Parts: sequence; structure tokens; C-alpha cells
Amino acid sequence: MTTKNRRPYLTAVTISQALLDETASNLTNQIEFVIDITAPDGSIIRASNRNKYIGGVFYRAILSDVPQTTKTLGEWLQPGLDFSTISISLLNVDGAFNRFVPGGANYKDWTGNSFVIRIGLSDIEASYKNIFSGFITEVAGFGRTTKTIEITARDKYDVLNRAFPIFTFNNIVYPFIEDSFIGLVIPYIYGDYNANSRTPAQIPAFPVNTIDEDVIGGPTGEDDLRRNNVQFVISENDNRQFFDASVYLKLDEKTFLKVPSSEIVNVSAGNNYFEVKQVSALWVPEPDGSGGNLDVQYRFSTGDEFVCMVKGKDLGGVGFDTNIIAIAKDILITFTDLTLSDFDSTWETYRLKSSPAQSSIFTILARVWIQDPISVLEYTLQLLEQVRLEYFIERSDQKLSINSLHFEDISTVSSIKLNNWDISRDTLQITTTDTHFINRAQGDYDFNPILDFNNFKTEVYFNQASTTITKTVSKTITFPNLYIRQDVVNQLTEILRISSTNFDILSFVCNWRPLLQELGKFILFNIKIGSTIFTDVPCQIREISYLSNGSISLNVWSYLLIPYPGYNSGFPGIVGGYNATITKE
Amino acid sequence: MTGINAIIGPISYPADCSVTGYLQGPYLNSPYLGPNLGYLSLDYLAGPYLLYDIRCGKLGIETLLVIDTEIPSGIEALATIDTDFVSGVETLATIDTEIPSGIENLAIIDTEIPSGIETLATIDTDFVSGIETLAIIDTQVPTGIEVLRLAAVETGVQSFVRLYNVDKLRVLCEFDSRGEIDQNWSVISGGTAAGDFNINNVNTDIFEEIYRSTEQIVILQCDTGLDAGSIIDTMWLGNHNLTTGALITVIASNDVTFVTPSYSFNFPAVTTSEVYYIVPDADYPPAAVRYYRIIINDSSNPNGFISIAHILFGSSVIFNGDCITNEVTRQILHFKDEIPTEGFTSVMLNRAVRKKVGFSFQNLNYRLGNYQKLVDVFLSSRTDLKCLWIPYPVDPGRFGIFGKLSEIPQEAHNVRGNTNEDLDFVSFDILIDESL
Repeated sequence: MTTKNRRPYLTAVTISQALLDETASNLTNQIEFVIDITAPDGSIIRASNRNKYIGGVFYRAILSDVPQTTKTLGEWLQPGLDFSTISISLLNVDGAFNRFVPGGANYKDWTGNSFVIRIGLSDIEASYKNIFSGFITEVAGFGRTTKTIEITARDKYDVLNRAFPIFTFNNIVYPFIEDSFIGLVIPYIYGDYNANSRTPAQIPAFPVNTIDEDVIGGPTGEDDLRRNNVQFVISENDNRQFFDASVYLKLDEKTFLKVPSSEIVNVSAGNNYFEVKQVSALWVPEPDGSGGNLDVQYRFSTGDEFVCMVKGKDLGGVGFDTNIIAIAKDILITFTDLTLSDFDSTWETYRLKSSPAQSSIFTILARVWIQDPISVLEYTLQLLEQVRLEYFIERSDQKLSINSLHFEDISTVSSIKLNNWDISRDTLQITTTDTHFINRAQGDYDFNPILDFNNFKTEVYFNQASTTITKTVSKTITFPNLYIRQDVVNQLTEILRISSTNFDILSFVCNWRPLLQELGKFILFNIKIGSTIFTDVPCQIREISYLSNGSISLNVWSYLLIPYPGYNSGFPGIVGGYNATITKE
Repeated sequence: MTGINAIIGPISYPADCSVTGYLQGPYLNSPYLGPNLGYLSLDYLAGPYLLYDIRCGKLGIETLLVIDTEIPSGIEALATIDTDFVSGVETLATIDTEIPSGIENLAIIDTEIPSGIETLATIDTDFVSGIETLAIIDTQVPTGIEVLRLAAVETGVQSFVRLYNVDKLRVLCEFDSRGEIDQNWSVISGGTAAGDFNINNVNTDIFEEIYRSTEQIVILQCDTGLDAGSIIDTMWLGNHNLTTGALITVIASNDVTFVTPSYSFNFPAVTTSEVYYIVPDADYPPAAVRYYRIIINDSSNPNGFISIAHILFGSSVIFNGDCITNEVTRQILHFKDEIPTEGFTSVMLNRAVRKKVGFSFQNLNYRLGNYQKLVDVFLSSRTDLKCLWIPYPVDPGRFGIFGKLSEIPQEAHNVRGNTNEDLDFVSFDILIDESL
């Protein structure tokens, strides 16, 4: 006769939520860490905090301590760099790694070598899951003491921490470019800049041959022959379309002279280059009088600025070209080492999302013109944040995944409920953040490259229920890449519905039950500790850390005061949430 | 040419002795040798043969001989015999020359108790020598041969001799099984599983690192690397997956192909995850052998393979006479991470199970070899090398432990006399821990 196995982790082949729950009920488990580090000679250093096999691979107990591994969604409305950085010490008292240190036979720079942390059940290979995948950093990535080898690695985000665009004007490719343009970054363009512009056109074109004497009229500028056209570069990337009928000479901030399309020649196949004839046809003012009265043949003068209209990079179709998800994905692939296989299915899901209107990513139009180098990570995060999305590195397959803050995407079913006996004693901390709190806001949207600020502002919107019971907190929220007013108003409204409530942020350490949970997922919090009373309250995981003793540290948002479809706690004082009334002033 | 070119005599001998000697006829021109005087000269010898017979009532040969030349010679001795006691051979000899010689010995024997052979010898020269020994024998307990021998310099021959038993503490610290070179184990048959399951994993001190076969019958071969061979009195297989039906046979041979085995023996039946072979008292290994094969037949093993973490064998330090006290402590340690919860209970992460064994030495005779043996173990293994400690070899699995000293013990010396060995004792406790 046998009884129920109270150590199911010894025979389980995978980690499932049911197994984690069962082991928690038995109060015992055997969760362990292993680390694989690529050594300078290409071999793999197998490290753990104990000697053990995983499958047929032996891991040696050479870790002086298991590092805490943290993943985070970062701060909402404050896109920033939130790397997971891991530092470990490999024991080298016996000199086993001496061959990899300076002076050793196999020494080579450790920078860029892969670094992977997995977590699983005892020696069961199939149960091990990747919780950190990164690379040894170039800054203090490798060090040593007399007894240890010190390794520091950053997660995959590190490869996204690259500035873009990257190419600059130079006098090798453009031997007749003005010195003032040398070193200037060549812009990169996505989306449709043939619409919704505050100015006749807003894409600057950069002259690249204006020290050519045949362009500027000989050494003195008095040669009227002007044998060569003025050459202009629009962007580093090829563009879907160039509008030769929408090229203007910018006379001042408000005055633009249209260049006759007949004077626009030699447009490149990639639509990112064109030339303007000189001493050719007469340039006439616009019918409405704008553009002045320059009905003379054009001769280039230093300082002349041209602007034009393009449809930016071809991403595979109109539906893609202006889709903020598709644009972000292309930036990530173009300017980092990521490939299509590094993105999970959520990217396609949200690219195609078409309802409700406020979350219809498919129809929300976006565009990008960027010249000042900026981190790919930072820029793409703020792109997605404009439509209330955020991306992170998914635990199980280390792919980039999208988390949604759309109310309608909140799952009403949680796979896990945490109780008092799951929470590590004396670790629960509750804070009410005020950095997220906004109950009155105005949208500032559509960045204009030639004005260097956003084209438009929305009306001011506010949550009256919130401003009535507390003070008014106002903020201008920018949407530089959206250019349809209603799209911006929709996003502003939804943001106010969340941010106009002082919701709780909980941080605590618990047992291993949330091990399989992912950033952005919801858990039910069922805790009663003194003045802390939560009864089946949905909480969204914003940060998750794997601690060396197998416990999990979580940082979650409580939705106790934020109703959403399928949940309403009904408590007094609820002023935000899905059904909150946001009013235009 | 002659074998002896010497003048012999006059010879003094007691009155009740008779001396007869003669040179065999064919080699003598003249057979004359007087009763009190022997004199041979070339004139009388045709060959080197001298037959000489001295018969005495109490003495075979007694001589007072002094040789103090420094001229190299085949044998040089400064010997004094001044005892009148009956003995087979009695000598008081001092050799203090520093001239290289085939055998150099400084020996002092001062006991008057009849014994087979008794010697107190000290050799402390640094000169190159064929045999160098530092030997102290100070027991008065009747024994056949007892010697405690320490050797630390390069030597041609090094030996350790003990009185053998199977019921006193034994400690295996020097593992002949680990050979003199890396990779001294090989799998003759039975295969090696894919992954980090190399047979030489049996040589590590890591409990979890194992050899794993692909079959249930394996033949493993160890090359001790010792040309002179290894004499084993203890063998241990640790952290294995063998079933109780497993049959373990060991074959020893000086032939790497084992065409001519030297001897063989079977392990006792497997009962635990550790199995010991303590050489039976009456069947001490008959030979020093370089190669050993371990044949394991576990055809009913449900895993479909055989795994073993440790295989150790060699010559143990074995106690004689006094031993540990009766009480032995044994503790199983459970390592875990503990997380107390708000539910007023704790969740645990299971880590590992290890054990530790403690035992005591009460009034260990300071002047006998046992104490010195342990001190030797302390100094050689210290607290950082694992040894196989078997406090109770009759049931080795009960307290046997492959671990490190938790600390080198503090000794309590109780000296109640000067040199009398029965009045000088040492007491201390030892704790061996697998988890260190």
C-alpha cells in the first residue's frame, strides 16, 4: 500500500503551477539554480551552488552565492533603462580558472560572452527554465580577487541599449558637403509625413554638394552658369514614397516657397535623395499667396533650407508602415542584433488589435522622424507607451513580449492566489504611489522635425470624481509619434482612468508558487495581516525577482480601487477605472 | 689467486670448546693446523677453500672487533658485543660514517627482554642511500613485528608494516585507487553514459559526481600505477545505485590484460548505498598488485545502468591494541532553506542530506603506535582532505564515513610518569563531517 507522494518534485519532469501549488501545500520543494557561462576559449563553465547533474551535465559548486535575478516592467509613463544586472563570484581557490585570467594560457576578453541562469527542480533537466539570459558587460564585466573570478552580466536589454540612427554625413561619401553638415546624423523616417502637418511640409532635406563651385557659382559665387544641381539627402533609409510636388524652400518659420515639380530631378530609387535644378524654371508663389513672390530662377545660397514630404520606410504595406508596433519592431531589428525570432506572438497580436477604438492599434497612425541619436530601448519603449503597451523579455523563451495596460486585456482569471501562508514573514510592504497619480492632463502630440516641437495639443481632460475628493494633479502627456487627434484623446482618457486613482503598490517575498508567473500577469492577493486586508484582489506583477533561497520577490499593482471589465471591488472611494468619467474642460 | 689472504689466530676459546679445521686435501700441500694456532700461507694452499669449525657449549661466535678504516671496503663495521645473555644475535653497533655505502645503519638495542628481533634505530642522514629508515619500536607488548615507520625523503623503498585486524578503527587516507596519474580508471565493458559520467569521476571527493554505465554489467579497471603493487586491506564503493542483487567481484593482477590474475575476492552483499570490503582477518591480500578489476553484475537494476560516485581502496591506518571508546555519535544532517511565512509555518527548500560521525579516544597510550598514527593522519589530511573513516569495521556501513575532520582535535595529555609507557595517556574527540 502506498500513500500520496509528498515530495512530488523528486519525480516531476516539468514545473507546472499544479506542482508548485502541491509542493507549497507540503511546505517543501527543491528549486535550484544553475549558471552557464561561456569562457574565453569557448568552453562552458557550469556553475551552481551545489554539485549536481542536470541531465548528463555536471555543475560544480563554485558559486559563492546565487545572485538575485530581477526583471521589471520599469516605471510607467517614465520610459527608462531598467537592465537586470547580475554579478557573481566563481570560486577559484584551487586555481581552476587561472587559464582564463590575464597571464593564463586561454585568456581572452570575456566581454560579450553569454551568461544564462536557469532555475529548476533538483537534477531534472526538463524542469529547468531560463530566468536570465545576457552577456558579460564591457564595463567591469570581468574581474578577479585572489580567491574568485568576478563576472558581471546584463540581460538581453543590453543589446538594445544602442543609439540610433547611426550614420552621419561625411565628406567621403559627399565630398562637396558643407563642413557644418559633417558629423550630422542622417535622419531615419517611418510612417506617412504626407498628412496632418502644421507646415506645408515637415521633412528637412539636407544639401550635400553645396561647396561644389559648379553649384554655388564658382569661387566667388558670381558664376551664373550653376552647372550642377543641388543635391539633397532626406534619410538614411529608403522611403516608400517621395512627393515631388511637395518640396518647399523654407523662407522663414511660416513662409515656404513651393519648388516646381519640374525642378525636382534624379529622385533616387529609394526615395531618399533628390536634386533641385538651378537657373531653370521660374519658381512662382503659391496661389494663396504663401511663399512670397519669388518668380525668379532659383540659385542656391548658403543657408537655404528645403523641406519635403515622404512616406517613410516600407515595412511591408500601408497597414505596417504606420503601425506603431511594426515601427518599433523594425527599429529593434534594424539597429540591434535582434531577429524576427526574438519576438513572440504578442507583437503580431497587438499590431492587429482593432477594438475597442481606444485600443485599436491597427488603425492608430504613427510616424517617426528621428535624427538625434537615442537608445533603441528607450525610444521603442516610449513608442509603445503612447498606446499603453510596454515590452519586456519573456522568461520562458527569452523573447520580447508585449504587456498591455488596456483594461479590456486584463484577464479575469488568475492562475494563482496568494494567502498569508505564502508570504514570507515581515516582508509585505504597501506604498501608495503619487508618482503615477494624475487626474488632469493634456496631450501634446505630433512632433514636427523642422519646428523641433510637437505640432498640436489636445484639450485638457480630467476626472472630476477624482479632483473632487483630492487635489488636482495635472500633467502634460506627450505623444510625439501620434498625429491623429482622436487617437491621442483616446489614449489620454484611458491613462487618466488608471492614473486618477491612488492605487496600492505591494512588495513582498513569497514562496515559489509565482515562479511561473510573468511580468504583467495578474495574481489574486488574499492577505489579512493586521490592517492589511485584501480579499481576492487582482494585482498585476510589475517586477519579479528570484532569490537565492528559492523564494520570489514581487512588486505588484493592486487593482482594488481600479475596476476593469470583470472586476469591481465595489469599495467606496473608487473614482478611477474602466468606467471612470473623463471630462473635457 | 686466493679467496682469503689473512692471518688467523691465535684463537682464544673456553676450555670446553674444541676447534677443528682442515683444508681439504686436494687443495693443500700440507694439512697442518694446530689446536691453538692456525696458520695458512700461500705455500700451503692450492685454492681458496677453508673449512673451519668451532664448537662451544654456550657460544657460537663471540668477537670483539674494531674496524675503523675509512678506506672503502665491502663491509665495514664497528661492533661491540658485551652481553653475556643468551641470544640469537646481539649487537650494539654504531655507524657514523658519511661515506656513501651500500647499507648504513645506526642501531641501538638496549632492551634486555628476550624477543625475536628488537631494534631502536634512527637514521637521519640526507645522503643518497638505497634504504633509509626512521624506525621506533617502543612497545613491550609481545608482538611478532611492530614498526612505525616515517619516511619523507626520496626513497627507493618505502614500507608500512602493521599488525592486521578487522575490528579496530581504520582510516584510509592514501588512495591507491586514484593511481599516480590522471585517468587511471578505464571501462573494460559496460559502457559510459553520454554526458559528464566519465569513469574517472570515481576518483573525486565530490559525493554527487558519478560514473554511469550504459549497461547493468560492467567491468572497471584501475591502474594503481605502482610498479611494486598495491596491497589493499579496505575497499569502498560510495553513493551507488546498486541493488541488493548486485554481485561485486574484484580481481587483482600484475598483468594489465589480466591473463594471469593474482587473486580475487567478492564483496559482501549490497545492503546500503555504500558498500565496504574489509579484508578478512585470515585472508589478508596475498600479493601487492598493480591492476585491479571490479566486475559488477547488477542485471536486475531497474535503472538500466550502474552509477557509482566513489571507489576507494588501499592500505589503511589500522589501530592495534587500544581504540576508540564504546560510544560513537552519528547524525544525519538535512540542509535546507527555510522561509517562515505569515501563516506561522515555514516552507522549506530541500537541499541535501549528509551525515557526521563522532568518536572519542580515552587514555590513548602516548607511547604506543596508535596515537602516533592518528597524529600522522591529522598532519597529512588536516581538515581539508577527506578520508574514509571506519570506526567499526565489523559493521563498516554503520559508522563508516568519507569526510573531513571538522577540526583537528584538542588533545588532553595525562602524564603520570616519565618514560613509563603505562603512565602517559592522551584523550581527545574526533568529529568527521561529510558536508565539509
